[in-house]
Amino acid sequence: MIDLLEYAVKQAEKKGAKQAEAFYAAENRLRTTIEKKQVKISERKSEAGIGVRVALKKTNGFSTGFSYFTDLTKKAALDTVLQALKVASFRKLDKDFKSFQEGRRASPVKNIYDKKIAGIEPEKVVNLAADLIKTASIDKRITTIIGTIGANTTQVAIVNSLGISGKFNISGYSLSAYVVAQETGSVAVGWDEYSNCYYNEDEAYSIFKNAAGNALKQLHPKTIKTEKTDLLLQPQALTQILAFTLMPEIMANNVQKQQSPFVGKLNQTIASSNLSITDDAHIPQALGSKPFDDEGCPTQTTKIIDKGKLKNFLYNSYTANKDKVKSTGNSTRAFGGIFGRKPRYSVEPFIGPTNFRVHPGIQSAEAQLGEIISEVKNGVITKGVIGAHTANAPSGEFSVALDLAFKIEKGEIAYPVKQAMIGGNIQDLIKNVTMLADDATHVGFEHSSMVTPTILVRKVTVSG
Amino acid sequence: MGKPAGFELFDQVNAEDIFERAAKRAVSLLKAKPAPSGRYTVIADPHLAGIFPHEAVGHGCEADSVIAGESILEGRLGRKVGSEIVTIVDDSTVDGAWGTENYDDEGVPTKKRLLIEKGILKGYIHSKETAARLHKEPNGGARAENFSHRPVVRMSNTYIAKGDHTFEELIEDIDNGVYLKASRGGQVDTAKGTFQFNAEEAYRIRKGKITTPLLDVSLSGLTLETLHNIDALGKDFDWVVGFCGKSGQSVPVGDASPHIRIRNALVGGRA
Repeated sequence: MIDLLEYAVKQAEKKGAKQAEAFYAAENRLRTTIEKKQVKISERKSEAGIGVRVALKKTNGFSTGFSYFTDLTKKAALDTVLQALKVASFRKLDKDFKSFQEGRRASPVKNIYDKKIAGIEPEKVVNLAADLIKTASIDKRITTIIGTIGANTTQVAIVNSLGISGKFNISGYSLSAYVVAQETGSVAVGWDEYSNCYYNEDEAYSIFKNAAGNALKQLHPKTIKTEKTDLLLQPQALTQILAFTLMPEIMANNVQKQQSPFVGKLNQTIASSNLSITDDAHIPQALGSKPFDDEGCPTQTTKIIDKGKLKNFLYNSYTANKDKVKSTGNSTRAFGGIFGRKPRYSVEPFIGPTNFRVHPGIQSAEAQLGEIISEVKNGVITKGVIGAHTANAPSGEFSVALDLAFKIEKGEIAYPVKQAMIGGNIQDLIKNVTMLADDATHVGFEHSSMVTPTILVRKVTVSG
Repeated sequence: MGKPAGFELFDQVNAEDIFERAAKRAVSLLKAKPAPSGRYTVIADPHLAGIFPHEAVGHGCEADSVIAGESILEGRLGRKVGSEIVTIVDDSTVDGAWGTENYDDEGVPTKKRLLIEKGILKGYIHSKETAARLHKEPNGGARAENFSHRPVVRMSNTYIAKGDHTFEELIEDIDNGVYLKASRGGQVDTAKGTFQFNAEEAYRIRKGKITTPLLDVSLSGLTLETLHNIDALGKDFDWVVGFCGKSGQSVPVGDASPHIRIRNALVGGRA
């Protein structure tokens, strides 16, 4: 594949590009869906293609162009190069563009590719799904079991005219279980999820068991009153909130556009000293781990918040050149989520996290989850939130419904909560983090992840 | 603003107005106070209220969700699910609407689908498969994002039919309420029947008058409770364009509603 990438880059230079880059991504996905206690669908998809970027010299600077192809031949490569050059000639001069990624050496990252996933047969996953349905059918009150099992492999390769040439493989495995329980007029839902680079059947069984257990625990919920109270956000809930507030707010493109409450706040205290957040591309088996980013820049570990102080923003090459700093290796082309996804080769690079790790800033801020709960006199613990994607990222305001929440009274989980909401802004939330539990969990996205424990935040208005 | 149209749209709409509205909204947010928390009478404008028939009702009427056992509306056909003034329709044939198409992605001619009529649940949205499994006629509801996806049951243009109140009539007897406008979207749990909708712009209502601007806030509720708590509908009506995500696929949809009044709705502020 590297040969075809080199060919595209050479041709682009020959046809007038000052700089050129060719990026290859090939994905194989296997997905099995469980619907109402039956294995419903098993589908396999493959997609591969190459995206070409060129920089054309103009008076006073450059303009860039992009195009991509999926018919992996030299002829298609040449056509695509010409198309990208045409786009560059139409586009206006981009004064902020200085260069594509300069050649730097990347070191390999261990344990991100599971050979077992590459060779996996759909039958194996379908059989697993059938067993998972049995596992979750632990009680006659369970009326519906829904779930997905996904396994995928991705191959990435990149060549550019500044000396970058590299490739790597990564695999992904993800599970989600959603269970409905019903009893005398009460309908309750429980869920759980898991993701990792490695295939793991034991985890699948425990995820489905947990989801079933959660559904049963949610039966016959009670209404709570609106009041200021202690709030425990479990890993998935915190992940959702951070993904649509803090994460976009520390990306250099949004900071440069002044669309972040953290503009001009570097090295200032923005959070509780109990809290540190790191973007770490080298965590074994985490979905966002990789040796280099989608422009070929070596990845690293970047301190974002260190004991409450804002230390860094996340950069790709374009935004780094604009601020005259080095890229943090956070260029990505992975565009996806609940609203559909696009193949990586078809997208120009932007900025994204690798593995966003939330951890205690000081050791005394960490305790066992059980200990933290036992010290809460009056509070709420929630596994998830609903509607985090509607947060106002530039201002940090969010208002979400709690999902799978329980009331805590006198240090013990008392009863399931019928309906509750929290509102606030991320700036206040991170200042009020009081304790972090020892239950750090990996929550995966499309080629990135968040690794976070449950956190305790004091005096949050929970409406019920 | 959006329509399946060409540049003639710019003759019908003044594009500058859209920028002016956004600028005014941003300026008004500078003076905004944190929104209240708890239960209030809420007025939602068409752009926010339009999300309700889509998120809270439409997703629960998708027959694949009904069959999968993940819809609160399962087994309720012909039964009362909301107040008598509520009629909700999903219609692929609305002229010039964002989710309009003549045929669905299984080649079935599309049509107008009555979901709730005067508070009674009337029907679901079907693909050929779900229609066969539930012994109903297919009604053109199978859509795919593109060739690389399988068609799944989806909405098209979903709306609450309008009522007969003026805006002033809707708010005049509200002593302490919240007016919610526009939205960045929402999310729903169809099995449990809960939803969350965000409002981009909000105001306090005091003694029948619109007063203080409020910071971004959301509304959450139980679908069946909320359908019963809608007690008045405006006589205005407006469309919003959007994209709906399901099964990792995105398709264009239209949502519409008049101004609606909801009693005892949960507002998630921080004051």
